[in-house]
Amino acid sequence: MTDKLTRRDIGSKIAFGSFWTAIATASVGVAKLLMPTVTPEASTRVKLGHPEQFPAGTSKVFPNRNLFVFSDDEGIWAISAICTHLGCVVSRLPDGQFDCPCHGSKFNASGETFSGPAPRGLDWLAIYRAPNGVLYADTASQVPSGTVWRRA
Amino acid sequence: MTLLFLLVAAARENYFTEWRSTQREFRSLLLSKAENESDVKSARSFNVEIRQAVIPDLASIDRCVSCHLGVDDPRMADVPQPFTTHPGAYLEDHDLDRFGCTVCHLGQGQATTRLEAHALSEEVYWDWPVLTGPWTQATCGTCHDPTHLTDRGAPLLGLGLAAFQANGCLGCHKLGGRGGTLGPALDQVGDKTSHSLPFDHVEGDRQVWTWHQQHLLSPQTVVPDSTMPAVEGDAKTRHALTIYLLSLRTTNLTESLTPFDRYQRRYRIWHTEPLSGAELYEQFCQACHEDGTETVFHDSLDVTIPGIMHPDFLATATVEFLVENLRLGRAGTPMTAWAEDSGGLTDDELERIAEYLLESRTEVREVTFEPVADPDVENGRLLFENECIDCHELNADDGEAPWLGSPGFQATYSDPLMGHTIKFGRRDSLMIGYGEEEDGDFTDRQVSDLVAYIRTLR
Amino acid sequence: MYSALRAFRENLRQLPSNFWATVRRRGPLKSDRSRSQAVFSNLFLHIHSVKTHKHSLKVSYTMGLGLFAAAFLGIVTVTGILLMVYYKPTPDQAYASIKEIHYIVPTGRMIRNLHRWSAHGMVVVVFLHMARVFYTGSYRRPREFNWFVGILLLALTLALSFTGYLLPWDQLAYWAITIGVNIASSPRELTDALGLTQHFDPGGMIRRLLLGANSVGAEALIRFHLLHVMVLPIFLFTLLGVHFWRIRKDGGLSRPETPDTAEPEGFFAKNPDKTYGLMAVVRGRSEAVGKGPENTVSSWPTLFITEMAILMAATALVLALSLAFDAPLKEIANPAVPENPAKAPWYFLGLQELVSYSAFMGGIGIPIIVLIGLILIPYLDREKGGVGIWFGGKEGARVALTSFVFSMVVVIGLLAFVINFGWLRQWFPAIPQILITFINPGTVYSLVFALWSLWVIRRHNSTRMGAIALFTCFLVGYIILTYVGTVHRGPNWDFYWSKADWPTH
Repeated sequence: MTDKLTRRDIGSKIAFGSFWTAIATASVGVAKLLMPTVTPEASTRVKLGHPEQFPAGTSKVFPNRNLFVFSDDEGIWAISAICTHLGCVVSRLPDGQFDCPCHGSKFNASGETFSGPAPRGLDWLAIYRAPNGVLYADTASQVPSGTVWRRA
Repeated sequence: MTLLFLLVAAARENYFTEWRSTQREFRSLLLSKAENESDVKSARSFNVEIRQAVIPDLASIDRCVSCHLGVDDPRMADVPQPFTTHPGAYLEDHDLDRFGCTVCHLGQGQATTRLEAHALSEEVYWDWPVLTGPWTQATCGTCHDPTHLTDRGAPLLGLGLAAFQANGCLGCHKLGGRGGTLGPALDQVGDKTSHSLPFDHVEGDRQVWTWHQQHLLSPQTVVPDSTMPAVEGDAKTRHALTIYLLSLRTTNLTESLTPFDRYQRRYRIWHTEPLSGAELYEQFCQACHEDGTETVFHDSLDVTIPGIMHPDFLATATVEFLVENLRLGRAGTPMTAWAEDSGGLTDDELERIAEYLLESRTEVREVTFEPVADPDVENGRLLFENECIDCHELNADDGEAPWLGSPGFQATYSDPLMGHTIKFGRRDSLMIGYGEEEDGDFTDRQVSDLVAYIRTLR
Repeated sequence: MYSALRAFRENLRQLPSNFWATVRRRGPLKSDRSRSQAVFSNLFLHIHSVKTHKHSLKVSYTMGLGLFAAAFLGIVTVTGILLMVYYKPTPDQAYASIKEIHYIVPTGRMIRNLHRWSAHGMVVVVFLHMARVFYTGSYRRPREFNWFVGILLLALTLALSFTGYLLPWDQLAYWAITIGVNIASSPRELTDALGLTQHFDPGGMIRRLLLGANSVGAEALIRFHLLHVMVLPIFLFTLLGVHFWRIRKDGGLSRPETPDTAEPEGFFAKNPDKTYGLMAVVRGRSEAVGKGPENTVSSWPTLFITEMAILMAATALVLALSLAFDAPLKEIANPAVPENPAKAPWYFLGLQELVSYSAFMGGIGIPIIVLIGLILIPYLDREKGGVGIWFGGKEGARVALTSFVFSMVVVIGLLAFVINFGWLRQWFPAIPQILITFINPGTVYSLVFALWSLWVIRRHNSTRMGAIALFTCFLVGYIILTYVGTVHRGPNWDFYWSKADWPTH
């Protein structure tokens, strides 16, 4: 009698065990579905153009991509227009300073924060030259402030 | 058992996918092609992941670049598909991130396997099989004016249009509201899929282009009760004509993606007479240059705008010089480059503007200045910093006078013309003649030094 | 001395085990009592009775069909909710979003396949479940109403499957729904024939109601989506609750009236420990009270292991199908290019075959007669005995067999005749539609079957036998017609032995 019972207990343990393992495995699949690996959004890569289109001392705004591009003799750099506080879009004042309309963060011309709640300066973005010679900025890849793409 | 199936499913989805192995192959190709340290570094950082061009304006998601990884990499020109560099200069004008792939090549952009993306097989349920090689010219004609492209990347399309006209197709078929009524209208004939065409008597692949070519060769074979005469011409003509027919597709381009020549075509339909130089000046120039007779300081633009109709400026100008200036504009200043690919004016129109400007010319002066052979750039710099920099600052944004580093200025002003302008100045403007006795005392050598220095600005 | 601090530390230490104890609220499952508690102290399990009759666990009796249906429903619900995360119900985006699910969404393709195959599985199993319940006589008193609920659930299952069919917005979906809705609006055939359409147009009303327009488009898509993901599921789950609750209230699964079910009075009251008895104190013939110990087992774990096994088997089945076959997705819907043949979902192809004779009779008339007939069976056949036994015994099995052979011969014979020689319209082109509506192969089948079952009732002097005969005939007819519609009908609804013979068009 006891023998029989034990066997039955082990049997049901195996049954419940495999049941819950299968459920757990399936749940992993379910959880994966909710986390997209590829999103249907435009590329974070922004085509800037050839370096000659950025004469020293000029600046260019890419309003739809929330991006400012500046240049001097040395090279070209890109500063994100996304406020590091809560993601509003900053505007550039004539004196070169950036102001955030949402919570009043202020940044100087090189994006360093000097007033307001922003925890750090505006992001500088990676600029790289594609094999075909065109410059691209990547809004998803930040570089340390002061990183400039150098003219050859 | 259930568990096993789940694991098989997981493995199939996460590892055994075609694009993953293709990307791994490309990564080793990159490594083998690496010439220097940075190449190796970028090859190492190549991630195996879905790559795509998402174009909301076209409602397209093109994952073609997940396998065609070398399209914008010139180093891949001699590598076989799928990694080959995109041939021609098409990508220069059609930025991948702005247009994607399927707008020209069709196929199924969302798909992630070769078979399904190309959609050439009947097993794949997709209406638009991929267009490759010359067939791609069909979609050029969907957005562009075919006549505009005969020497610009789509010769067969133009040939097709010519054959369409030469064969008198409009005698029976309507297109854009004009044409005979014996045959069906051909508007959007390119939208027909292989399912909406009768393939009973067509040999070969079940593709729309096969159907059209055989139908053009012998209409009665393909459609037994057809009354259409066979098209005159050889296989190449039928090929070209098919390309033209396939180009007649519905387009839903947003204004920002509409190509210049299509605007032109539309424009030509609305305006039978071309705009005169005066009308063009009125529409495109006078907002900044006003009547053009004098140099003015524009408050809101914060810049000095030259009087381009001032006789003294025009005295040394030629049509070519003005057209070139209009074409290139002044990068770094508000002056737009008016060439077709940016400001959108044709060379004809620019010429008419130049001729209109020259109508105000009252005298013609030869450029007499001749720079010396061995100018001293360093001396030029000193002179510039003494005399010029107050107005002509080194940065584009500053300065009241025109920025001399502008590529447009550098390209259009020859050394003699630059020297001439420095020496004699511009009457009625702040630019005095520095080589004339009453205003300054620069010798020709000094002027040449200055010119040489100005050449180094950018 | 009491130290609150020490007690607090002790409480902290025991937190996990105490928390677990409050969740489970029972000891180890060693006694009948604890096993019973495991059931009724658990919200999710307590729709079960704590004891299960051994007969109900016999595989050969139920074949677990109801449980399979529930398992498929569970899978369909879970996968359906997951698909809704990515699906966009507008004509512009529906097709592309399904493509995204197929190509890019992690596990999306698998989830969609599972949804499709378990939905089909559910349709099949629900049919079989109905046949099982019918042939074991389980619709009899006191289960008449639950049979009715079951018929409604069958209709809801078909409706859910049908509304889901449109959502991918491909050619298959578009044309299947066009056909399906035209079947639903076929009363127009009758009103047209009677010249009433101008005044009274129920067919047109149904179509407008379903499509929100005159043809399948954006309005139809949003309506079908709403029905599919919200309205019909609410009805389905509500009725399913009633269905399950009724099983308990009607005394569990049906079984033969054997002596062991005689009530040993006061049996459970003798032992106050067996509190599950209180749970079972319900009106009427609650079997939980009536069970003798020798023929019941504790539901925990026997019944639950069976249920889990069935859920796992169902999952394994659809997983295997999903791995092997992708859910179909054809070209994007194109109202200008009809599919040829344009077929409705397969479970309606029997109807489509009937519809090819007469839209009204095939689409509305006969289905409604059959549906009403099914609902009325328990009220027309009030005999007792034979409950819980397949075919109610040897006689019934014989009747089922002869009816099976009879209907096979009739259906295949008439079908072959129609395919080879055509029907009234081919012989008398000018014949009025009203005649075809009432005299067509579909109505002939129905009439022959009805006469056959009347004859069976007379011969066996038993309404039960007549019901078995009629049910068998209609089941066989439906299966054959569905099979022919699915396999042997090609372009222009012509007959072909196999798909390979279809003309290339």
